[in-house]
Amino acid sequence: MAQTVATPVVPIARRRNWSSLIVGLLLLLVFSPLIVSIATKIVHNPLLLLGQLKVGLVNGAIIAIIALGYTLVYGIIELINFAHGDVYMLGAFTTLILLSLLNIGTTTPWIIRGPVLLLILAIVMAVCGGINVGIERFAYRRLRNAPRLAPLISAIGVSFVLQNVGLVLGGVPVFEGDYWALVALVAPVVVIALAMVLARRFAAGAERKMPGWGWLILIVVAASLAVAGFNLVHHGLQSAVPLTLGDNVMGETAPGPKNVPEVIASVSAKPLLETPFRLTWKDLMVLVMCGILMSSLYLFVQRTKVGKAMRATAQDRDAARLMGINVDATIALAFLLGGALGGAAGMIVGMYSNSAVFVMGFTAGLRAFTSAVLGGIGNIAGSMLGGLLIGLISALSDQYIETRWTNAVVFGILVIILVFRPSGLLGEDVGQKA
Amino acid sequence: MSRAINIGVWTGVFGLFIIVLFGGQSVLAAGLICGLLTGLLGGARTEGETMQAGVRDGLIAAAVAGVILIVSNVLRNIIITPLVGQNVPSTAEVLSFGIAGAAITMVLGAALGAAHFLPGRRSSYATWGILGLVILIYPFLDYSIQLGWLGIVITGLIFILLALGLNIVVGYAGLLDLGYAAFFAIGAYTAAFLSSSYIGDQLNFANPRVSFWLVIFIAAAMAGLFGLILGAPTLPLRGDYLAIVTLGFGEIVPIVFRNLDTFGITIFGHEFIKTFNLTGGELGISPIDPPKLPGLDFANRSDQRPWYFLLVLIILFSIFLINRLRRSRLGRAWMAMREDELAASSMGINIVRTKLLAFAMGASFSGFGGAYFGAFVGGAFPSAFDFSVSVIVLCMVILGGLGNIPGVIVGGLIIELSDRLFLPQITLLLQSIAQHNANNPSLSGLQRFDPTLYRTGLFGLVLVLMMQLRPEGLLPNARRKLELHAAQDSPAEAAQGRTDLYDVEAEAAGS
Amino acid sequence: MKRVPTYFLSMVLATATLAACGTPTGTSTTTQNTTVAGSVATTSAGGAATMAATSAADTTVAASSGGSGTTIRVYSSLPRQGQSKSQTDSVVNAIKMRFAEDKNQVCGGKFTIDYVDLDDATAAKGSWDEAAETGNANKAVSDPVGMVYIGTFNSGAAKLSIPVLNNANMVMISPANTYVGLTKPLAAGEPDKYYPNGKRNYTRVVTNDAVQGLADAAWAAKLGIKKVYILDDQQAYGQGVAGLFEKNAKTMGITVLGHEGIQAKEQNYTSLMTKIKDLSPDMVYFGGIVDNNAGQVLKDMRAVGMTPDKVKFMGPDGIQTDPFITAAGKDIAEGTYGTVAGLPLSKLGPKGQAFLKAYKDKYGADPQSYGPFGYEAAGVTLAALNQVCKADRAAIRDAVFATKDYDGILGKWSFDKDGDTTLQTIQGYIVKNGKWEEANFFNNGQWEK
Repeated sequence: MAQTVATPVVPIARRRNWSSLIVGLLLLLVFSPLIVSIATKIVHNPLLLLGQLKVGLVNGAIIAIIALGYTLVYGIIELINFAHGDVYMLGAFTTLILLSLLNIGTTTPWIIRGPVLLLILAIVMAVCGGINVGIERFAYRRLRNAPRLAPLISAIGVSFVLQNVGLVLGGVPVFEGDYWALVALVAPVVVIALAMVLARRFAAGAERKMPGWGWLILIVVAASLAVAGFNLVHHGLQSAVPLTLGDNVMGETAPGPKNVPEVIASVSAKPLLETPFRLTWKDLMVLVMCGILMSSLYLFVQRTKVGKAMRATAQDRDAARLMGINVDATIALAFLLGGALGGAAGMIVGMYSNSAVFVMGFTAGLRAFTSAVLGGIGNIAGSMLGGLLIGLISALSDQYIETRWTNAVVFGILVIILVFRPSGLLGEDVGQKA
Repeated sequence: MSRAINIGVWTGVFGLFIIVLFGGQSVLAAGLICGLLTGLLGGARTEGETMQAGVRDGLIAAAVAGVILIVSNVLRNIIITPLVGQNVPSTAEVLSFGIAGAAITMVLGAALGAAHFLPGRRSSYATWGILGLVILIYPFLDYSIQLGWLGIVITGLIFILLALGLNIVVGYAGLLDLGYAAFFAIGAYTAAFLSSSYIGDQLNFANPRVSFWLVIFIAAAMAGLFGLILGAPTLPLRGDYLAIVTLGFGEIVPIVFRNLDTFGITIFGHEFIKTFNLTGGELGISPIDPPKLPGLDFANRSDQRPWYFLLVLIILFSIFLINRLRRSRLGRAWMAMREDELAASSMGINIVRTKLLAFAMGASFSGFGGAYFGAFVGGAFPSAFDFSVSVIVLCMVILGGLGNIPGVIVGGLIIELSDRLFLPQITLLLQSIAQHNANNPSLSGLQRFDPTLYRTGLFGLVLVLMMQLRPEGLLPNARRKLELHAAQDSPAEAAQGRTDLYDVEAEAAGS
Repeated sequence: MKRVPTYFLSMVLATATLAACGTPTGTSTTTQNTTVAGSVATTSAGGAATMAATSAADTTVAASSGGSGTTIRVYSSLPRQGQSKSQTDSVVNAIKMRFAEDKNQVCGGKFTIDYVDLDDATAAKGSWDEAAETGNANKAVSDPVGMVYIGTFNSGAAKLSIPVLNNANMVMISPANTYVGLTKPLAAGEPDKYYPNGKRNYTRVVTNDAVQGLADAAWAAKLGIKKVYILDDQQAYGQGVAGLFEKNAKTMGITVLGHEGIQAKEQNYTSLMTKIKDLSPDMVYFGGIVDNNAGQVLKDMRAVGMTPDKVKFMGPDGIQTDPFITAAGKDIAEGTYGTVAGLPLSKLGPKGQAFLKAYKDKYGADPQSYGPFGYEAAGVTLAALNQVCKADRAAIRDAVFATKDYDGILGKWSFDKDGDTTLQTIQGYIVKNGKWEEANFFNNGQWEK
């Protein structure tokens, strides 16, 4: 970023006009039968197109939220955070676990359901944001001055680790309505955190920079303490005040897909609209939530002082440092926001598609990353646009081509768009950064 | 001195790891590996040392490692061998094999240490000679002590071949390619179409089976051609935009191979090509003919040494080619382009041609690998060429050290061996212990412990830790080493330099 | 002190994650003593004790019998990581159980069986891997005491290992492959191209797709289905069954509205289902397995408004498992039709019932659908080894092929000359009250009540 922004390499730029024109015409020619057949289908049944556009919009909104996580991180440290998709997966799992422990379903009255869902959203966002910050701290920070592909490999490694965490989580027996488990989950965490804060305060005089492995050991020790504490608290409470438990929501196998209980409206409930296209409460929920998340992020980055610091850091880290911006904290903030959005997307998907599986992060991550690039990576509005576009394209391809070709279509269109507009739809000078 | 001991201890620990995992006579293989490591690391010192010093340091390191090997072989046979229900060999046998392993380590350590301090080019000739000898001896050792690593080593070598090709694109030319597996697929499918009965079976004619020896070059050429075709639209792109477009191609190619099981061209109701199964869909194309050579039996898999030597030859040939390429005008143009495209183009380098050739050359090595892979596994399947393959090959290149051939080989070996050899073996060992000690209360927890549940995570952890320890890769190339050195001197400049995708070596190159 | 928020957050996340991993929140908490053991799924209190009793003699034998010539090694090659893990866990457990019942011995103690559970998946890929499968086959044939190869799970993998093992005369017993072309003519050149030395060496204890495709189509016709939309998971198994279903459905006069392969890792299929709903089918048939998102397909089908009373959902054994109900949710799964090759659990003889009970006692859960086949494959292996009593691969292969009226947990059955099982029955199931309940039974080419 510190480099001067150069004009594009001239010979290539000029050649592009010719070659891209020819390529474009050729493509049009090759695909003309397909385009004609799609057009006839659309004319034949325009209402179906409307329905598919709605589906595309809803799925695209979710992709856009995930894509924002990629873009935030990329914009600030130019790292493709491969682990982001898996953070989103963990968000879905956390949602599933919390919903089951609290035994929330469509029968719970809204007066309880609403606040509890908001609380769960807050927890999920905090957990996922925290995970992302932790990843940054352990896997990326030391590599900030390393050759740029090094953190990429680290990110791929983290992605494997998180996927494994998801797999193991899928094997944990979580029983519906086990309130004591919830209490026990929170209690040791609070106790340990308090103890650590206190310990730090007392040891403040001798405060020194802790090495990375020190953190690691601390966390492992604390985690084992938490596990022990959990067992104590949970079993103590359980034997004192027994509870009748529901089914094990994870089922009997760790890798299998899990069912996230329905919380917005049951399947048999009457949809909001049936004609001209079907619109359910869940669709509305997704659109509203994604809208709120996107606009608040946009406002946060554009209007607040911290947001300004983020933009400054993204533009020129050294200059930002000179201006008194805490660069480390700003980067951590970007990861926090990205992770929180990923978690929120996980929860939205959990409530919308009602499922969680440990491999779900990969495809979603790939799609989201693609849409971030499509819109111009590093550009927040671009990611939103890219996500919506990818959602629409896949829905239309599912309808008018064939599902099994959808990924090829999505990537094909991506390639075509990038060939014609090499910095993404809304990307301006970012293309020169690398 | 203390450095030599240090190296000896660490290699010894690695040897211990191997012995504990594999048991039996694996101490000999551990000796071979430890010998290489101690010799290459322990004997290597800065300039100005004599040959005697090299021998001495090599020997010290090897001796330390050797002692650890002997002790760990004894311990393994006392503690673990009975646990997994294997027969415990006699003490004399255990000791003699341990000593033999240690002896191999010391001979190799001393020889490599000496070779390092031979004057002039003789040093590298001697080092390569010793390495060549080890490569030659290894499969025979593997068979005589029933180690069973050979198949996995071959697979690893195939991926190393891919990594060498990708190194051209990423390491030399600086083009981040996330869809490299596409060319691998093209190579394998070319082999499948040309040297199996598949096409003939589908279209009802006896198609000629092209010999492997020809197919491998055709496959390379096909992959190279596709490298050109797929490279052309990416010309205006840079950095991560290039990465995502290559990723797109990497996704599209397997999908096309998977979905062309109903291939036909019908335009406005007129059937130009009757629909038929072109690629076999998910079930792929199999079997593919193995290579034929008088005197060698490639079809009999209980002896895979012919496959091993064939692949070693291919890799040596590739390394030779890549080395020549790197030093050629084209290779220098790649590196110039990697450093600064604008500057390179104003110095008269034809960027379009240089970029396209990088794609084509890199892809053609992948084609080699694909054809060999197809023949070796005996089939071509779309799932063998997923995004994950591209990512893993990229990991090898970066882990080993971008732009450095020995580094890429080491990186490839580490990733492939940990994913295919060590991690599964840990699983097997734990399961075996559990299976044979069900009645032992202190080990009964293992019954319920499922190590396969944690393999992915362990693999990821290996990647993360490696990068934390050696962000520049295990064996970075000389230019990068210089750069990092400069970076330590002036952190501010380093912070500035990091924005570049690869290296900024203005200072380093100038010095 | 600026670092406290980061510090705190990292702590919270790590503790939360690990605490969640390491905690049995259920009732079976008696064996809880270490954190490691706690994180493993489905533990049971009784398991360890039974296991200890059954294989008490095991170690003593292995230790006392000197000389390496007395070991016979049996390999299995299954994807032990990734999405098929839940199925292969059952298969491997069942194999181990069968061997342990004979104290890992054959020929009255002359040979000790060393069972090696190979993995044909890699961590990097998360599913079966071509090189890994070939490597496993190579490993088995280059082991002088390797005699039997149990596997594979995926039919695609079998296509690679059959030729390798064939050259070495090693017998292969698959507990899961159903692709027809491995044993009987299907595509051009099949099956002979897999057997380079001309002598068959591949057997399977599961019924192949041909019977199931017919049975499923016949059941659909019997249910009065007029229009069907077919989906598959683009895997060898799912595509195979779905293809044969399509073929048979057409001959029975059912209109096939379309046949598509789905992307297994998709988040949801609402757009596909919107398209299908527009065609208003009576039934959606899904050829594939649970782990390739069968549950999600059904959920989205209901979510776009295809109600259970109007549109039925049917699938083969790949979905007739408990994880399917977990994945789809009890309410949604209600009324799903599933068919399974072989005898239903209730029709299993006393041997089968004993197996189910023993398995549940030992591993705390019912076996997945391929578990019994793993047990049967191990049983056939033992029978052949007991009969031959020599470490001779060709003789063992012939003995396995000669299996006649084997009295196993699946009933009495034999291998035909192609290595296919003679068990040709299909059991139908319907989900009722969140459980798979036995419905109609398919025998001799037709459904009976």
